[in-house]
Amino acid sequence: MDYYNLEVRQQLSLYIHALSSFCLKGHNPYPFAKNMHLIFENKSRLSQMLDQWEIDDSEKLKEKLDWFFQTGHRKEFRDSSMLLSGLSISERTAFIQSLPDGDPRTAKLIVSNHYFTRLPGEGIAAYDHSWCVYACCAGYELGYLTEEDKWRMVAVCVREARIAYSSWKDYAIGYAAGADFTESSSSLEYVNKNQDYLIKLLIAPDSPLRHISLSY
Amino acid sequence: MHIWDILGINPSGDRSVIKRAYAKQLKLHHPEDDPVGYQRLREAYDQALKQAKQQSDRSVNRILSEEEDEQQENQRVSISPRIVMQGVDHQQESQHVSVPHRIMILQEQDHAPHSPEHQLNEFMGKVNTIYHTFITRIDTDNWLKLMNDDVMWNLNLQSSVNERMLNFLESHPYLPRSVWQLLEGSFRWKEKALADRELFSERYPNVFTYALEDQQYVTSLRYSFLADAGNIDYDAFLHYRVMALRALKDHDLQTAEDMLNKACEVFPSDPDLLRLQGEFYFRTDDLSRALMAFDHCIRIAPDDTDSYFYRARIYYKQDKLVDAIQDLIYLLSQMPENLDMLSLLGKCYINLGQLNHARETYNRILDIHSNDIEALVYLADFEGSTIYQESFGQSEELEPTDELELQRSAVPPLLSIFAKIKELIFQLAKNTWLYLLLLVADFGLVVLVLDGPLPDMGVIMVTIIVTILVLALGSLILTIIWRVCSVLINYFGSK
Repeated sequence: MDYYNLEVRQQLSLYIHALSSFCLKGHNPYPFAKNMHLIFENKSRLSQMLDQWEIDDSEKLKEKLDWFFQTGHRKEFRDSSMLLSGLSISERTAFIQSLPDGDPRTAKLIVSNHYFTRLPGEGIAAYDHSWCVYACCAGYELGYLTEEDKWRMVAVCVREARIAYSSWKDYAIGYAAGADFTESSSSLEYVNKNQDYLIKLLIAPDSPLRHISLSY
Repeated sequence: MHIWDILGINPSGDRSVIKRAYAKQLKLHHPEDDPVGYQRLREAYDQALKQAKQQSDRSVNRILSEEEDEQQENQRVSISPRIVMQGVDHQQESQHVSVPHRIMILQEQDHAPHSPEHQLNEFMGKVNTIYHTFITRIDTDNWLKLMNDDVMWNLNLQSSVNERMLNFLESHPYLPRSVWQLLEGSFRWKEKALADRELFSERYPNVFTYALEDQQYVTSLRYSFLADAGNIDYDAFLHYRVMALRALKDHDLQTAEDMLNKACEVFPSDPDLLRLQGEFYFRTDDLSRALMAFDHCIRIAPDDTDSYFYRARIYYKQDKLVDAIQDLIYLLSQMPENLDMLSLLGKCYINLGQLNHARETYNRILDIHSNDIEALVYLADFEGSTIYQESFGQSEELEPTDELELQRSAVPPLLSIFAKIKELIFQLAKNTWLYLLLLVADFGLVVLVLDGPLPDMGVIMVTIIVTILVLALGSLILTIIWRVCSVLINYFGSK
């Protein structure tokens, strides 16, 4: 993808808008989903978000982005799925229940088991792609990335997302699974709290997802 | 009293008859309520089983008696160790009846004196015998009986028994889960490992895995289907099979393939092995081989739900949707609340264009799990704007006749104003043509004012300076406005 080309950048901007809109949550985030530039102009908020990842310079940001590209949360999810796939249906639940109280694996295994065969091959990669794009744009706004780096990395994210998911529906499901997995929410709290927003993102006529397609 | 009188049956070589008699008498002579009676019953039970075993398995008894013969040369008659039991020592010593009875039995059986070492060896002999006959190995009752052996009650031998068992099981770990649970319950290795878990895991890695760390996982594979396997190397098969399971867990496909092939060479018709094989082929996208494995598994174990579900997934990937649906409907009749199966069924219906059935299926998912995101997403996709209306109310505009109006109304008003101001400034600032025009206009103005053909250098310089100053002042004012708008957007945006 020639991200030096203006038209390509315009298209990438639409993908940035769409992919990063998944990262919003809370009370009524939809207006901001339609105007993501307001989010990316809020430098203090962007800085707070990067602080959660202990990123305060260019090098740390690039390390984080590299991790998103090479590994991401999707690897841990895949490992959980591999562990469960060797067990029979009846043994899977019994195995999770046999884990000792307080075992850190339990919540994530519960989420993996819930989505066991229901996600595409790339699993929760949608979560990694969205946050990677968000971090790229945040990093650029805060001066940690050059514009060229930003477009290059966004282009890679977009390409991977389009390979992994053929529709925004599957992307949304993958993202939701990723959110609950990374938050170790065995009760699937992310979906409980944000399902309305996700549905609105998918079906609202003015949604940023309507402006660009994932499929080739 | 003769052993058969104590058991309440006629002399028999049938072990199951002896077991039933023992169980029946146990109700009358509970160890806590009637320790003397229990002791007598235990001895009678043991002797009866011994006699039955001698009748049915001469070769095994030869090994046992050979061991006994070796020990007899160094044995002295010793009664007190055998009668030392937890909580009943004082009762045993005062019971004249039980001691002569014990000696009488020994004389009848021509047994060597039972030194601790002899008892231990005898016990381990039993362990060895049970383990090396597959049918007895997988029968928990045999191990239960072993755990009730006298040796297990002998405080002086506990440490030695524990160590001998650990060493044995370390090299012979292939036991069903129920047996491992029984052994762990008897020897309490979890408690013992608490002192130094790392050391225990280093000394006894297999016992650590099977009894402590990963029991539920490594013992998830069944043993029952191997009972009819015939004369095979059971331990080799079980080793390869569990190694295949572990390799799949680590996604080490090369090792998994190797172990699966080796296990298959030993015994190819184990349902759990076939399931692992099928999983391997499924992961490597070799769907035809995967299908063969699961079809074979279904022939051996027609009730195996995993095989049917894998087959349905394969059919779905191969676009054989009707076949997939058939398997799924059967599966859901057995497991109606399985979300994976319902999800796949919904996808099959969607691909077939049977949206009503798909809708029903996703609604079934929501009945089980009301916040299932997949069901919500697909149902929303089906319903389109209807769902949008119902979920988000009529206050939201549905058809953007004026998109700009829609965008404005969606953003909080204050934010919208500040954003607009910023946008305007941005538009002004990026249009450099404006500055050139201003400069040209300045020259023109000066020429007009001075009313001359060309202004001199001094006037030109002044003009340029004034223009720059005006531009700088203008920029400063615009920048201030820009900054104020940004701060206000940040402030109201964070709220």
